[in-house]
Amino acid sequence: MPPPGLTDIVLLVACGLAAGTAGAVLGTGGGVFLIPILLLGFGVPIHLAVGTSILTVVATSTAVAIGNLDRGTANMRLGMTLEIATSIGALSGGLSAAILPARALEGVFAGVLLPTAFVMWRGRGGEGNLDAPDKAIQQAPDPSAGSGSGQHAGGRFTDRLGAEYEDTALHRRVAYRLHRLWAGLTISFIAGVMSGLLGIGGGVFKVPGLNVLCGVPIKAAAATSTFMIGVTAAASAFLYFGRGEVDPQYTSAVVIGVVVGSWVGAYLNRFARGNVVKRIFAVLLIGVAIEMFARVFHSL
Amino acid sequence: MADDHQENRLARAVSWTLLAGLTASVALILLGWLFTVKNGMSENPQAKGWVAKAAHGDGTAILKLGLLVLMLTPVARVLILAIGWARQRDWTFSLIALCVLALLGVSVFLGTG
Repeated sequence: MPPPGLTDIVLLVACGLAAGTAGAVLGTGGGVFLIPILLLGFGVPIHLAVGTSILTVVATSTAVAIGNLDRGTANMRLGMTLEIATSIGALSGGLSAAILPARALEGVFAGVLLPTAFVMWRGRGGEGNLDAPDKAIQQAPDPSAGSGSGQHAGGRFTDRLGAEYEDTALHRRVAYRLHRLWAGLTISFIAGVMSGLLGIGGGVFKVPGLNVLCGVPIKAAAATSTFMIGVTAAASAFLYFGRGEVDPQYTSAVVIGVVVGSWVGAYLNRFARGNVVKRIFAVLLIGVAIEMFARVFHSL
Repeated sequence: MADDHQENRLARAVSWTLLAGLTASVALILLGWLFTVKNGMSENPQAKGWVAKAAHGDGTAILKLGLLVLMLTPVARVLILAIGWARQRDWTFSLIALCVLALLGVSVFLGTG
């Protein structure tokens, strides 16, 4: 890649800002927007676009996790347990990306955009609709009843993967137990492969899975997923970095934009309600997926 | 078994680690851009001695160092958790964190080895 000019740098920061803001508002992370922008807008090869994106995933996850840990929403023990499966997946994905031809990688990415758009349309993307009624909370035991659930309960290993957090919207502490650890590990592995292969966070698969299959309330699932994503992304980032697929000039410009964008998006989230914005972006993602599929078929 | 106080302290330690890593990384990136503007753009240094280049004020090498610090921040987070849980004598989760650290080590080895 030739070094970018000053105009390119300004545009890269702006694109990072837009992708980071959209990712935070829509709860999908910025990668699903960033990779098509770099690929179709700047002509960056897919492997370098993925390398750039994976670094932005590390940056946004780090920036957002700082606040979640302070609030106690992220479940560190559950996150670290699932991280074993996710890291193995990320390593597998990162190593597979090296042997996949560019067009094949573009095709896989376009294929992943479709379920992402579907989840976004339904309003349950990565951090999803955090204010929607949550079955996991309704099933969770009331901590005031002294059931002893949460991280500090003894007994079985899975009992120790539950936790409690303060839900500011419900004005009470919410306790929950983990169900079906195997399902959580399986989803985490798949999310890790997607992350390592395509440079995305994978929260769009993990959060609904943890909520629906494992009984983790959506807020805790989103915060735990964000806590994990940085480690998952780092697991494959070193591979891309070592292969020279992380261009310092392109990547650093985008990283700065995405970090600022994720903070702007988190602020806008207080005001942006309703599904109209999400549905507009879902349609946009389908359009991008069609464009990428067309590129792949033209090259056959 | 850990109590809430110990758990909150550990969460704060992790939070501070993330903040320190992100701040250092962003600072290095901004410094890298300052040197790049001053000395002009250079090619992405691929040779082993790129860290020494960063020490000598090569803007692109400093940018690369900033990105490396960013990637190492989650690794530091896992290390802090492994140590924190070991201090709480929570050997199960300390061992789990060490397993994740080992997997990250494999990635570092494959990426830079």
